[in-house]
Amino acid sequence: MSIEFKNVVKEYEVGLRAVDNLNISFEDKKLTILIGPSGCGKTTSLKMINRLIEKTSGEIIVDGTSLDEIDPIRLRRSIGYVIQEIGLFPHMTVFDNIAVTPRLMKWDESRIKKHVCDLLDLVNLEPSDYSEKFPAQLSGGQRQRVGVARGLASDPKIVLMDEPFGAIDPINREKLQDGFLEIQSKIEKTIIFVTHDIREAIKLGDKIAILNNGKLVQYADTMTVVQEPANEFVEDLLGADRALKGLELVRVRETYIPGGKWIEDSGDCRVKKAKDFLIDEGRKFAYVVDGSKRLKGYVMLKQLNKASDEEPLKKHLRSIETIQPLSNLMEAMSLIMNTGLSSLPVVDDKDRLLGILRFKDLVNLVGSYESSDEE
Amino acid sequence: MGFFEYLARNYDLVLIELLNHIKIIAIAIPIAIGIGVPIGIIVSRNKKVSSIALYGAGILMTIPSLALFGYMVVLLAPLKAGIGVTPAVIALVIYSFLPVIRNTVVAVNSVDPRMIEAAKGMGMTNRQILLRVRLPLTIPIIMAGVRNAAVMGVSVATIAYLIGARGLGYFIFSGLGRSNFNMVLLGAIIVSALGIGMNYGLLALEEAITPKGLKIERDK
Amino acid sequence: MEVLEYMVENSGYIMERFLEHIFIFLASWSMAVVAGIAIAIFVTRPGHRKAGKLVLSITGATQAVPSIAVIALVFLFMGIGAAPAVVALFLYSLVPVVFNTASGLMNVSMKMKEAAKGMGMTNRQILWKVEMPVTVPTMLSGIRSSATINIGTAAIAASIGAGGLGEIIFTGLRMTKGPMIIAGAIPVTFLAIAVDIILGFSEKALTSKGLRT
Ligand SMILES: Nc1ncnc2c1ncn2[C@@H]1O[C@H](COP(=O)(O)OP(=O)(O)O)[C@@H](O)[C@H]1O
Ligand SMILES: [Mg+2]
Repeated sequence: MSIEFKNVVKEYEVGLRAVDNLNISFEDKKLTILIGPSGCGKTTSLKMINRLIEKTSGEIIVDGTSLDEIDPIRLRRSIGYVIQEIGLFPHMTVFDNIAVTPRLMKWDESRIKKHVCDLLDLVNLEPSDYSEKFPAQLSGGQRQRVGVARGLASDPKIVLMDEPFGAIDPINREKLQDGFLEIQSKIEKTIIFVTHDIREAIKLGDKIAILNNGKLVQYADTMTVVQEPANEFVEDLLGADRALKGLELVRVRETYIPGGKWIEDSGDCRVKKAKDFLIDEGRKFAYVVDGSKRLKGYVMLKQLNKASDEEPLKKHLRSIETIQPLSNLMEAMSLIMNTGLSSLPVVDDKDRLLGILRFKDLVNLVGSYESSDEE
Repeated sequence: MGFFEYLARNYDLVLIELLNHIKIIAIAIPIAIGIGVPIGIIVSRNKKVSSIALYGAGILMTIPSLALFGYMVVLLAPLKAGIGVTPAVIALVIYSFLPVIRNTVVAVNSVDPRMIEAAKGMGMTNRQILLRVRLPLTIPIIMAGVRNAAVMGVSVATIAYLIGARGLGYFIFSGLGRSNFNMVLLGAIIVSALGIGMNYGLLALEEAITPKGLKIERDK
Repeated sequence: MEVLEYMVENSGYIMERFLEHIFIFLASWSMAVVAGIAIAIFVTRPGHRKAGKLVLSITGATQAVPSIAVIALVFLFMGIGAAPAVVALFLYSLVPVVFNTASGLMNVSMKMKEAAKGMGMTNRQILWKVEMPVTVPTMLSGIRSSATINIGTAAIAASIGAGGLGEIIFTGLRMTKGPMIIAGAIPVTFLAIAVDIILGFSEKALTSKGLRT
């Protein structure tokens, strides 16, 4: 469902506009990020959609119907709402927490039971293990996943999320975001997602709406926002390393060079063969794969020169970090920085070598974002 | 005459005074809840106000019970209410303010406003929020305060015999006056048992109404 | 007015009862504080954990026993006068001191104690440098409530001939002499509230800064 804001204004105190003449149209089945500095009106805008906050003037239209014509209680039951983990009810089990809205809507118990189990599956919590647990028995990340499941419980077409992962530590936040990306690809809902973390915004958003002082500053596809920030404010929000952040949007599979020449070692290869290969190719190092093309590691000419020709090559194999085609370039960049090598082997999920990702190409990409900066 | 013979002969009287005793508590506690809980809810909105209210209730609690009864005998005399059950009930209500208000404040503050917001956002009506969220979370905590008050009531009601409220204090004070050891012993045993029993009984009730999820949270 | 008249006329008598009351209170309470802390420390030493738990549940239960019951029981053994009153008050004041101090000591986290041990502290050093400082706030609140309870109970102890300010109130009640009742009630109220306030201040002053809320 689409949601359209028309000249929406919210004044908590007369004359002070928390939301200032907002015009925006949230698209059907897309995840739109609302981002901006603290106090810019993100939460206020979000809560006007489920009428937890009543607007001062203007109009909000959901699929052709003005919000004012819908009873707020019924409206809220039909819209998913997810906030920080603290929103779970401590006296209810995981099952009962998720079942709150379906029960308010008087679904029959057997349907609720099946639906709750499906939702727990969706958020990767085994229903038989977690249904009867209480929030106090879960980790922060698990609680947040229950929160997401609860937000989806009434089969809403619209889901509102207010900094849902804000209280989670960075490592688990990444995991939750990955899990959420997967869920999002399955559920096809219109999601409005408030955050103040630009990395989260770029990672999750189809579109990004940037607010400042209650006004809309830019509203565009995520890629467009990163590549063409509307003004200095958006640039600052993206931060000094915004060029690097662009890397998060591109996957390895779009950038790496497939194929190449490698040393094959089915277990009996000698140093001599490898040395000859490296000298012929004029290279300082090469990857080594086994009979079924699985990456074993790499060898360096410098070291092989010190070894005797008849030694097994195995002895001089060095292990290396790998990356898969679906990872993003930001992850690749940090691996390359760590290993200090000029490229990274790209492998599939069975460790078969597919090609290489060159540092050079990453640098060029970053450069292209930066040049668009100066225009 | 031995202790048990005395007990057997005065069995009826024990029951009557026990009922008189419990009557004082049973009248005072609902009044204390009716006054204390609303006060607690109101003052809980503001930290400063609630600490002032609790300080005041703490001072009231410090007044020795014999002195408080003394004041009431004199002050309520013009209303013909200086002696009997009325001053006993008033005294107990006054002493109950601290535990009842204190626990109400704690209970109200234990409910995270963001959780209420979540409940509202999910489409609960105010009534549903009250019945399904607020009450299950707060009643057990308020109950603990009520238990403290009721246990105190056993003691206060005993002293209230001195101002003509009857109750189990009869056996102790009358026994002391007549140097009747059996009477004193009987009184001491019953009021002790009543106090301990009241505490454990209400504690069990408290446990029974505390949602399991909260116990797990508490024991962590 | 009548109260004031009564007080002026009987100032000597009231003063005597007042001093008596303070004496009974201080004697029984100070012994209870010292003995209570000692008992609490003793039952919470390593190896006595069971004893500690037992003492906690006993003192927990006895807090529900009305003070007059303890006075009555001591009377049965010792008869009337100031001495049985002091004994009864001592016993009754012991309960909150032991309960609060012992539960405070038992709640000092195992981790903290292990850390202290790891730094090479002896059991004695752990007690005085780690456990006690952490327990002080709980202990002081036990000591404070034990004092106000003691002062109130001492008034009731006049019923077994302990003297003190309770005697004035009892006599006043028996003779239905309003001014006399009030003349006893005011100083005992004053005493209880004053002691409570003084101990409240020292509680604040003695609580180590890191533990203040
Ligand atoms: N209930 C309220 N009463 C008064 N002012 C409020 C209230 N809620 C929010 N505001 C103000 O409105 C502005 C926007 O708040 P909010 O929407 O919560 O911002 P954000 O979620 O972007 O941090 C802020 O200046 C905030 O102080
Ligand atoms: Mg916000």
